Amino acid sequence: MNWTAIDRRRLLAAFGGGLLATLAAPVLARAGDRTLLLSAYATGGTGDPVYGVAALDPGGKVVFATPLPGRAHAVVPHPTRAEAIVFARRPGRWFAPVSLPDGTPGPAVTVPEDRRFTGHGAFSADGRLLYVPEDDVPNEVGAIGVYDVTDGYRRLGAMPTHGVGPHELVAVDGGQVLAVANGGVITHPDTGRAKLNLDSIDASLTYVEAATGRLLESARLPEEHANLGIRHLAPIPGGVVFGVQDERPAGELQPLVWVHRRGETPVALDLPEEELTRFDGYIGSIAANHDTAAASSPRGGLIGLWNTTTGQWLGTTPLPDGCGIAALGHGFLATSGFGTCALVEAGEPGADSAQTVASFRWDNHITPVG
Amino acid sequence: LLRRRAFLALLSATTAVLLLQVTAALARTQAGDKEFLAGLVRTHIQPRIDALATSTGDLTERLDRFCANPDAAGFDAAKTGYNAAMDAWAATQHLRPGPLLLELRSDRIAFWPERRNIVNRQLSQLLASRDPKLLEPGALAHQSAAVQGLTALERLLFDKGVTAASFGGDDTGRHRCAVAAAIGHNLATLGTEVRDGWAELGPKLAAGEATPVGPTATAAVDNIYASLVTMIQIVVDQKILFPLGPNPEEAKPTLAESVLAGRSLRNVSINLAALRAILTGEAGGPGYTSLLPDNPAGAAAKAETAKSFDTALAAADAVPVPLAQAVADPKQRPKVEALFRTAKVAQTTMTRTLPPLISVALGFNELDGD
Repeated sequence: MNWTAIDRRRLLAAFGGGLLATLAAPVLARAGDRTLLLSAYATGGTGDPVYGVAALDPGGKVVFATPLPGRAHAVVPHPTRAEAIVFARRPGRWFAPVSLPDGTPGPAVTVPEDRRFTGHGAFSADGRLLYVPEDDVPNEVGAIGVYDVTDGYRRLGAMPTHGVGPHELVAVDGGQVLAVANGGVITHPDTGRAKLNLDSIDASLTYVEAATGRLLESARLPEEHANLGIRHLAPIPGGVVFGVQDERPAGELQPLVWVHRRGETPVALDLPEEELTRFDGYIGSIAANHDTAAASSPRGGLIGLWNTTTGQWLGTTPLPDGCGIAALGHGFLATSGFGTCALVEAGEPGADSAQTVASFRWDNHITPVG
Repeated sequence: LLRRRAFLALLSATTAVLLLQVTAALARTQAGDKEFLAGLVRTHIQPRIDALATSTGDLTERLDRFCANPDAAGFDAAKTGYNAAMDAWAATQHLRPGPLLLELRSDRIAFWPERRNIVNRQLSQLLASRDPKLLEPGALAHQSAAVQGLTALERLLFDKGVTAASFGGDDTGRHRCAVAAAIGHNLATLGTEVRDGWAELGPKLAAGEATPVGPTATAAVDNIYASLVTMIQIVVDQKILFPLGPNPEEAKPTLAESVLAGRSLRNVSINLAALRAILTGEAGGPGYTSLLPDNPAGAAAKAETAKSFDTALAAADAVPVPLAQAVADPKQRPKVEALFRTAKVAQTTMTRTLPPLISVALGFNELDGD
């Protein structure tokens, strides 16, 4: 670990404070064969929030809650080891392993000085490598840091995303290809999360050969949608389904969920105007389960469902401040910043399945394990 | 059993939140929120937006007169016009939803924080290119946001060594003035667009109609509050903390706002005063504290709001030299640190104290999205 003095103090404080929370939470519960769902969180209530990573069971009960040195974003499970990686929220300075199913944290890995992680990442299919999207700060381009899982997450090098302002990255084609959502927005560590090029954003979806870093394919939205930043994506057969954010609102309704199949141009998924208005130009997370995709709008407090094969809109369900979406069973599990966990399925109202743990504010993403 | 123990441990915090919500729930209705919005538009929003339009119109007249006769008096008058427009901008910058958000108008009025000196780079190009088409009426609106507004104008008027003579004499001087005047006209157009936008939006808000600010009056009240939370974050982080840095050696004076015009602290003061005004009310109109319950908790929160902002404003007044100078000066730096601490207290009042009491649910995921 290579924390600065301040970071180390904060880290120790966080883990120290976490001891209580760990004792109070039902950590004795073993996940066994059950599916676990992993999410970053902040504690609710009136005190200073503690940030961490938690595992839920499919019923929405907390299996572990491990405090972290700062606010985290996505969590990805290792394909074979009983371990997951939690990524710091952007501009991210670290990622850290946690063991499953007990949530014991391992040593954090810090970002190189001239880079910042974007909060997401993916393992290679064999689990030997971890790919982490990052901003190459001096060059103002996207990069993918490559880490050796078998050697304590040692950094091996980096390759380009062939885009600007990357956010989420997923492995497709059995892990041979990395699909990257390049949001198109430039930020800088000096100015935190301030968006510095909103008048000239350049969003793209790129497919990068994992073994070589070679650009296999790049897709952009039509010119009239150049204000939309591509930020989240999920694999589907033959391509990805992706969600966008309106970075430069012009007061016009624009499609927010798109399908891209390799070799073709992106196709917008349909949504009635009245529904689209309520999504407020913003998709926070997206997941696919067979031929159904679910996308969340925390600003609109809505989850939408689509059939990715036919492009048909299947319905919308309310979930205030809802953002995290994970494929589960035949449908999805969705989480909210108000601590709610709800099952969402096409044709099924989600509300009666909702479970709320008010002491947790679930962060943007939730990921299933097993 | 374990689950129950965890539940009990969390009960105190949860109960507190629930009780606060019950207390607050009595205070807000759609009808009441409609009336609140009507009052806010009449006493706070409209006068400030009008002042922005008036001051940008006045600025462009001053710049036109100066370019016709580029003497020292005209130069001073132009700089006075810039400062008045900047005052009006700082007093409206918190009104983010609606016309200022649309068409990237906020960035076009003031391009800050900026990316790698882009304002100077774009401005140099504009100064070097003598293409008169770029300065024709309306043409600037289609160029980089970096050269469209007050940030670029500040560079032209306040850069080191610049005098009235820099704007006259030869072609270079006259072109410099023509660029300044074109920026003035662009600002006046933006000011008019924002005023016209609010002239249309204001009555709809007051009538409780669905608008881009929110589908209902209550949602609009919540959304405007969320934008105020964003604004205090901009003040605390971008305007104070980023230039301050962790110590005098790592201070970054160039990250401060309006450094050349020497008005970084003035901007902060006006931003804080504007937030205080919309929270506590002005000109006999309502502020967010008028949504507080009529009980001791409400009265205490109202007093805390006024006091926390007054303390921060006093701390800003107590910094005797420009911010960019103070952050790197060991003698003055503690005064900036005091400003940071007190502004942070005001921020905490806005994020923790007020929301549960005025029934504003600040989404965890919707606020500053990823």
